[in-house]
Amino acid sequence: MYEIAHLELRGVDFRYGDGPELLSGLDWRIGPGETWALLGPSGCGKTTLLYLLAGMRIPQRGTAQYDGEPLARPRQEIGLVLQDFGLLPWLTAAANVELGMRLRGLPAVEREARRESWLERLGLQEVARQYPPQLSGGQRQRVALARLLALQTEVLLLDEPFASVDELTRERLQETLGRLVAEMGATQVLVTHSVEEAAFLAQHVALVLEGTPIREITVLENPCWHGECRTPARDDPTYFAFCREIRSLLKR
Amino acid sequence: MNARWRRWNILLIELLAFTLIWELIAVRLGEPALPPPSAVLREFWHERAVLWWHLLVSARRVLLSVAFSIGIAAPLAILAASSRILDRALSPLFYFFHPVPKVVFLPILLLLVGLGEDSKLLLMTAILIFQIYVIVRDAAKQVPAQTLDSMASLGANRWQLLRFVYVPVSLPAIVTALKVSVAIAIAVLYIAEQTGSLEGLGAYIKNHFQMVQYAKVYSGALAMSALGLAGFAVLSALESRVTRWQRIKFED
Repeated sequence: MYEIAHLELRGVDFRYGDGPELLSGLDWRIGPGETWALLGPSGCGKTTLLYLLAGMRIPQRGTAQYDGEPLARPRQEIGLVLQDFGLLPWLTAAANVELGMRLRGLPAVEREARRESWLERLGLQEVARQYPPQLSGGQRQRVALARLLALQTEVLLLDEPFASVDELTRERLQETLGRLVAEMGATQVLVTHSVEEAAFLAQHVALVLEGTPIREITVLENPCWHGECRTPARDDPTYFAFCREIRSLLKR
Repeated sequence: MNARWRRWNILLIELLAFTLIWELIAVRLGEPALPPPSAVLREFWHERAVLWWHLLVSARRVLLSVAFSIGIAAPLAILAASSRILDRALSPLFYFFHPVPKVVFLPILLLLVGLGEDSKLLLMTAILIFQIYVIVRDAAKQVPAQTLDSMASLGANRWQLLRFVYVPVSLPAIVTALKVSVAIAIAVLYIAEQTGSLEGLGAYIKNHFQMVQYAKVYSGALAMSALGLAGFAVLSALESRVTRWQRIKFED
């Protein structure tokens, strides 16, 4: 067991303005290199949890920490992909991939090398000069992923990244993401509505079983996750059984 | 025949029909205040060197006043849209003065600043600056919260937010403000050039009106229209460039 969690929420209370309390005394520890998925009902505060882990919201009580330091602002080590991908429509796909690196002041030569590498790895070379409105949902998603991965952050936070793509594209993107996260050894926190996606992409599945405010999360260990095999085969009976277990807990 | 040519052909037919109707009415009435277009065009050709000189003087005034106005109002509007404190400080002031009819202050301006160029430029700038601010600020305020969150997660600072988000979002509105401003500047110019001016299309029209030379009055008006159309054509070309990302999906 690690002494200091990579990312940690400790006794966190959070609400927006005068709105209802979304989180109350919540604890959550995430170790380095771990892959997590967070499942729960709509509007329960999952995205807010991700924002707290990204240092983009400050809890009213308790602390959010990264490697033992308070998370008071976004950090270079943490990257986030939002639900709508957050691409700038006036920049081409290639310029969007490069944007994060430009903002973080990487030299032009390195930016170009990383941009080309990720465009190629995610099969985006042919659409590199196109603008986001010209791209399909899957292509926009891959651009957002490429932008995040090009930053080579230690932590990847993903908010329902595959919600707006068709089933086959989603499966392909899940496989791509699983492979890349394993290669990079990155820590991943994925917010999703899909039980199958959580079971496929996460070593630890965190469930929000009560409504708001979230006081605790129930953690399930993925039985398919062992050794080098990071993502399970989709026809693995253990995978099906794990999906059933998650579903039955959520229904309860 | 493509759509652009079809549009030009329609415009040409409409102009010819308008000229023909004007010719018929003018010949029928035989009224000196309504000379036939054939006489106006003859006079326009005859006076072309003089008109060209007055047009250049007027064009310079329009260009300078529009440049001053956009140079002051657009940056202030973009800054106000990106900063709550600045917005609270500036916007009430601009919105309060926007509907005030500034043209009624022309005699006072003439007293304070004199009959030269300054009073004309000051009046035109005072009229344009408020509407440019309102148009650009309202457009820049439309930046979605998700875009700002996405930029924050990438580590954008205030300057980078302005450069990569607020300025590109505002560009189409700036061009729209320019198009509106050129038309209004020419109308105000006509009034400003009536007083204490021997040069400029407004002065030319006024002088010939007093000498009851109506064909010359119409020639001046024609030159003024040409000035407006030229400005509109340049700005339309600029607009199609800066708003390419907005239209691209429909073109391809």
